[in-house]
Amino acid sequence: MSLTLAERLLSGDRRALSRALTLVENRQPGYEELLRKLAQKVGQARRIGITGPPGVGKSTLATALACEWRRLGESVGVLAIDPSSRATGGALLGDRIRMAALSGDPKAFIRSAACREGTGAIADASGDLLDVLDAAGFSRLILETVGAGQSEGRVRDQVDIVLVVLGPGAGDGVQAMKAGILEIADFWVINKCDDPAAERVLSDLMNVLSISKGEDVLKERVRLVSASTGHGIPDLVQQIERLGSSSEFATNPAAEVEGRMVRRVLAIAASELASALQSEEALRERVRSATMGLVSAKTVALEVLSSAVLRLKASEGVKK
Amino acid sequence: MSEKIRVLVAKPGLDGHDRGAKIVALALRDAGMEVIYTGLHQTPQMIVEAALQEDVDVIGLSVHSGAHLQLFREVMAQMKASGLGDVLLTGGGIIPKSDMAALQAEGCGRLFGPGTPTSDLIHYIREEVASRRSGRIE
Repeated sequence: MSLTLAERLLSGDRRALSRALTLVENRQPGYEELLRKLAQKVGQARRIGITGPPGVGKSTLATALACEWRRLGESVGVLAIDPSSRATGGALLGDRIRMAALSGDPKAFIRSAACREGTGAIADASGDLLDVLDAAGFSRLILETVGAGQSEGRVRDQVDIVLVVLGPGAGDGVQAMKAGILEIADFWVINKCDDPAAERVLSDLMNVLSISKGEDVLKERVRLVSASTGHGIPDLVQQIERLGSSSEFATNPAAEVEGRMVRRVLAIAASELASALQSEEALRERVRSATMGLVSAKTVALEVLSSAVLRLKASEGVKK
Repeated sequence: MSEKIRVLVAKPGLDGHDRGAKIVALALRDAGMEVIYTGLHQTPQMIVEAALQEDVDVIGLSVHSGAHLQLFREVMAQMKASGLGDVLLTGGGIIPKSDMAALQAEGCGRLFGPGTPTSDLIHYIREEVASRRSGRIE
């Protein structure tokens, strides 16, 4: 089944691509085999992450950038992530509504996904979804996500270039943003520059950044745009392309791909360990002993490791 | 783990009355579904293109303009052409019962008139999607 799906995807079948994204997102049987079959084709796309507070115009910016890349002859895949409700597990995925400019374009593909963090899903699948879009042949991938919770660090790991988007009217302003979000940016993009309040955002941002960044960096990397009118967009894309091709950047795409695979392998290992711990009362009893100082946390950790290995061996035995 | 139900909610054509569609979208989200809300002024092509890319289980159309026969039929035709024959097409708005029956006879799912409790729609979607999934061939 997965073999046929992979072949169809690689030949340009968009239905197959869509089905593959679902298979991978839901970790359905066969998804690992599918990813393995696609692995060799992963690494040719340039990945751009767009993050920032809600209401700042990320989807509109993603669309404007995508249209510019299309104008330049690139093909674009967009993965737009919205939060899931922790209470109900459902989600309203409303980013697509702003991306009408890309509809009908055979070299653009938009997929909306719910960030299922905290709703029982073990690991974040967005890296794998990007790999699928990468293998499908899009030359530019845009990952759009809300800068909240643990997602910022992940964005940094999953893409080549990070845009942190700011703008007027988006909450308490620059000072309220966690230092971590601003730090991960390759570009700080102030949207809605036609709004007079954007000036304030710019000066606040400069105040915060000038402590640690030189003037020439700020000149190059702080961009004023209006995603809705297009002002500053071609410039921004040009700067992104320059950075992406520069020697300061990863000259070794294989190393990037390998780094991502290391993180994926570790994430899978972590979830196997979590399963082992969750399903064995004896191990949870050991955890309780550790809280009382009767045994060290490290000892318990090694016991969890042994248990996970035994479970894997047992399940392999059952398969054979 | 049973997979999330993905629903596309759209308003095709020139109709501007979106309050019902928004209420339904939120109700489906609160029922644990993932709702892709594409909003107003969608052409049948845009709707089906989105449904394909998002790999939805359900397309829900909201039509208050009177053009429902034409719009539902266009969407069904596009769905067939794009290989989305196993996706449930449902919806509601201002649609006479006789037209609902006609569309159902042509392959459309149940349609819901104004004032239908959202729980009816949620129940229907869950049942239909479950039975379609168990019959699905890759």
